[in-house]
Amino acid sequence: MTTYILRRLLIVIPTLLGVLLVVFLMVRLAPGDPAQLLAGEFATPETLADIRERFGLDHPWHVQLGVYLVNVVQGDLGESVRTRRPVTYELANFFPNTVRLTLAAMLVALLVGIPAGVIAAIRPGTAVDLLVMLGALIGVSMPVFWFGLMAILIFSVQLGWFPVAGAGTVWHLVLPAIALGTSTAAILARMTRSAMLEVLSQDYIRTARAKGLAGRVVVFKHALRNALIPVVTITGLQFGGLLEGAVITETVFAWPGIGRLLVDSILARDYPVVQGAVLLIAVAFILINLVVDLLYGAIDPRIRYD
Amino acid sequence: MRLKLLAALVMVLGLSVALAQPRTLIVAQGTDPVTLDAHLAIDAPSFTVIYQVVETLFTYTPEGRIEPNLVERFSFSPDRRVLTLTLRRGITFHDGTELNSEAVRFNLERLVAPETAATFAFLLRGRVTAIETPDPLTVHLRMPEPFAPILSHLAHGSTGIQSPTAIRRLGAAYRDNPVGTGPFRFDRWQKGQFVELVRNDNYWGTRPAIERLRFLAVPEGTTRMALVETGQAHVAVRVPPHDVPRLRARPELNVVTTPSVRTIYLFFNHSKKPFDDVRVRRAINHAINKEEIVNFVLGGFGRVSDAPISPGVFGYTAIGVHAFNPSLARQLLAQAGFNAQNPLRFTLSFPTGRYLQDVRIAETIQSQLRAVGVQVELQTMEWGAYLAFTNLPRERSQFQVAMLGWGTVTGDADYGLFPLFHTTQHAPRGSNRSFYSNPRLDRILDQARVATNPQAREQLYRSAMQIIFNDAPWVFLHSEQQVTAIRREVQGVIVHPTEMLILSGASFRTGAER
Amino acid sequence: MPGRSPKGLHVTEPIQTAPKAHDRPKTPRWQRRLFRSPLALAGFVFIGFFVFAAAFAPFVSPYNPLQQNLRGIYVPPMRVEFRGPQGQPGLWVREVTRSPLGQLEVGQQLYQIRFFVRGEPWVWWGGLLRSDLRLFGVDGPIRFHLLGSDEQGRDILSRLAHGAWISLSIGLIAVAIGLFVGVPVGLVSGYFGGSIDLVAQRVVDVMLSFPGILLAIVLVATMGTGLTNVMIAVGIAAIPVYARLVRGSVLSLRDREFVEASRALGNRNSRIMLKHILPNALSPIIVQSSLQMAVAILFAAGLGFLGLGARPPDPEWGLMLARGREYLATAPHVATFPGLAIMFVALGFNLLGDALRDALDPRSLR
Repeated sequence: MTTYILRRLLIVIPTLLGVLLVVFLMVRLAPGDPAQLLAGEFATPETLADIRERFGLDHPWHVQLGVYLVNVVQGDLGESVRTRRPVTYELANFFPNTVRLTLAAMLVALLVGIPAGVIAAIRPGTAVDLLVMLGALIGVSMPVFWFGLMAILIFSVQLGWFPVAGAGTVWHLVLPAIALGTSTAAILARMTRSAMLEVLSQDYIRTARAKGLAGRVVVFKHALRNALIPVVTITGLQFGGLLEGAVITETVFAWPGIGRLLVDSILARDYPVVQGAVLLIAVAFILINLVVDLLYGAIDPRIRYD
Repeated sequence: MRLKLLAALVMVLGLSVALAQPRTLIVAQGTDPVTLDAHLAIDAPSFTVIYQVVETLFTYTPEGRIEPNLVERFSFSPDRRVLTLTLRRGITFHDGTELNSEAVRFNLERLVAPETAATFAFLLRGRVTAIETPDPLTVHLRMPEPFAPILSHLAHGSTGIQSPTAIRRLGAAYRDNPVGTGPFRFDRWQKGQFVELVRNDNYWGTRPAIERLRFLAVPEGTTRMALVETGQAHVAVRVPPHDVPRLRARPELNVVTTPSVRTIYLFFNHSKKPFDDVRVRRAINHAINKEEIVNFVLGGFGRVSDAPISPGVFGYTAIGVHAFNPSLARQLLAQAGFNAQNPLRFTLSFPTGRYLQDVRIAETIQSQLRAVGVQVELQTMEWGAYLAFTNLPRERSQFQVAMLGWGTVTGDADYGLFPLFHTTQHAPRGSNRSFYSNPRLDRILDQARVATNPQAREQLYRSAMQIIFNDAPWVFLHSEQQVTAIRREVQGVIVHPTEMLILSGASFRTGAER
Repeated sequence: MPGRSPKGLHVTEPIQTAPKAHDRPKTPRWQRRLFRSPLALAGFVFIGFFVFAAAFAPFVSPYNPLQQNLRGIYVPPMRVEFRGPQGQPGLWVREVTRSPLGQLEVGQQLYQIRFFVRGEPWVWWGGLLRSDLRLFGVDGPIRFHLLGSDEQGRDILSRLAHGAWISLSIGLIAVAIGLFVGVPVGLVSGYFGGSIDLVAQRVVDVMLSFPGILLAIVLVATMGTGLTNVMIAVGIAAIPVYARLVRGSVLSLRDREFVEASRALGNRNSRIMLKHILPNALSPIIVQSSLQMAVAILFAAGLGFLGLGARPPDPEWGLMLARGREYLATAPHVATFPGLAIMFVALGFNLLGDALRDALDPRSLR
């Protein structure tokens, strides 16, 4: 077990280095000139030169890479070209909102997905099952940006129940959380259903039923508990999926999170912020996977690591 | 029972407290400000907030006049190379620092200092070479040669006078905590969401009626409109044209239109054939139906350009419009050697999301030119890439025809013409990205810079613009109109042609007035 | 258990298939099962609908998707009437225009809709298909917008049909890139193991560190926007998915008897991989490809929506939706229809993928 954890941790290091390299290269290879961008229509060559020097854009790329790596290790992600604030400051401002949104979306997904999956599994092959499964398929097929827009149109613009966009109160969180949580709910429902079906067909459940235990007790006490193991794993991994979905959801709802910061920064060619945001999302994702991997072993005693 | 009564009492009290609380004026802007440091700002949302907090030496009034602001009096030396400013007495910054000549020098020097890397440094760089402060209220600005538009440059928001103490003390954090002399003081900034300002009770001018201002960042037009419709905001800027009829129909809203000093145009790359041929340039000018663009794409919220600069800018005169005339366009094209067998084809480059309806304008032009047999390919790119692409030196320049907008933000024709048409200003040196050159025009623009008499300058600009009109280096499209939605309970909000809001005179109507 | 990475789970569960039997029945059982499944049928119907629309886009479209009409911008879906001016049966419409002030104006006169009409000539399939035949059109000088028009007065139905071509080609090419790079990488990596595997898996790890669409966003940010770059970006984003999937299957197959036997007979590695391992790892690849089509189409639309994909005036669905979003309050139909199109095409591929999985997976026999 300890060797496994160590090995798993060691694997993370080259992955992180690779991510750093990709993040750095992506920005160097991109079209457009960040100095030009900052200077806008009003650029004079002097201004451009000033800006290039200030942001180190006039050095050869390998020097920039070296400087970048050293700085990242020291926790310095550079300075936003647009706002001239430290990138870490920008990220610290926006990331908590993304965490908030992601957690709320996960809550929605759990509250909808697991019960739906259980209901479908109890009555396999019935209309209820078909409905849940079809709903789940629609859930994963529906583009989150469209679902979000329709939700805004109906619940904010026409009914006026929720604020149109922005952040601040709990009410602001409702629609984005539902929009973002839907596809995860769908995935959880499917996963719960198949795990439940698997467990319900096991011998010990048949035994329990044969012993005359009430259906509800069997389902909730015995089956659900065991079926939840893979579901917990998926739930962990889905945090990564939610981070991905957040990029688009935040843009739709003008939610001040890391995804909107990322898209705005790409469109504005604010390279240091793009790098920082991508790096943060990737690292968060790697860490989530790592934790899930390690927890997986802790939860499920059947898994042995060699 | 008693408890219930108490609860009711508390509720009533709570309510009345809530009613008595000062109301916050909420403005929904397009984006969050980028910075609140006047010297570093380049975008309208930043300047709109800064404008309330930081003041300039001179001010550019909504009527288009340049008036002294922090300055009490000013005078030019006989050779027009020294500008003497006398500051108003007794003005203090929000942090208690005194506004004096040292503070002015500190600010102007900071703007042009290379380490500041300010985009608008060019306003003063090379034009003011020495700043002297003989006494606390007097400033001498020395210029190497007379420069007529200097006062309008000192009215530009980026020459704002900010507290030297605060800048020194806060360093890089200053941009998040601006300190000026304006009618409102900075309070807090929730990044990506809103900026809040409070009234400056020690303001040297008329104290504003509004106690709190909040600027919301709402990039989506639909969302911004919904906010003002539902009363979650009082003012919403940049109303999309298609939302105007709906908003107009609501009695609780005022929809205000204000001309903007921003002119939208297409420019030809004169270093590429066949755009060196004036007949081709004129043909395209005649083939594009600008009225149709203004009426149907901008919903009427624009003004067909009759000069390279817009009304409200010093030096503007109506020169004329290349009238929509498809048969003349075909004729000119035929003279230049283009016909159905050998159609003119070119690529039109344009930015996305930068100007009001930019994509739709480009798409409309494509379809209008198809009607006279010109085949246009559309090419758009992100703003940053686009700027770099159109700013390459002549030898490496690739674009054929491109779209840009130019805001004459100083309010003086010099800024609207010299950087765009003078031969010395060819990209990337200046903003003459079409590589247009006419020695006669150059001479006139040079003269207008040093001429002292305003009437003489206006005359010079008139002849300059006539030359430009005849040479047709651009397709003159339109100047934008700003459309702002303001709730009826608010009065006194002024929209400035430079896309800023003046809020110091705003107030909430009392019930009776409504 | 080296292959027991939970990562495989959110892609598709690796499927254990029995080695291929030598005496195959004429119609494989999985095919019979597939065609009996109602879900598969629904999937086929949706996909078939969009494939037809894409393949014959100009025929299905009443107008050129770029043809503008500034006097009829964001006209809502038009009402079709079943009685003519004198009460004669048929399909009839009235002209709808919009004034500069935004007011809708409905004309008095009724015009008849006819099927299989001659309209504006068109060229399709790079010149292979030329005609002026259109599925339907209106008899008169007005424009008929079954699904309404967009902000430039372009016909939304025509744009959706041409957009189907764009979306399906992005999906196909992206999946092809994923297959042609990801499958060999997974095959070699899983078969040889050792340092090749180690290096390949670290690269895959790095790619998988950018969750889902983020990798595509990063790539588009690097290469710039435009349809070609979107195809490449979405394709590259699919590579690690296939590499992981195939590697998992290979690991479970490489020590099986029939592989050992082939090796003992002195067959070359490349032959063993292509002849024995790949065919047996094919089922999950097929399933994944159907699901991946849905993912690729959703990603491409997402990029278009964010302004990082197709460029105007391309009739790409995500981009259409993004532009329709500006008119949500005034003209909700502009954003609604592209969204429905994206959803149904993705649903089609997801249904098919699910049905394929059920049909190909012997465990689901019970």
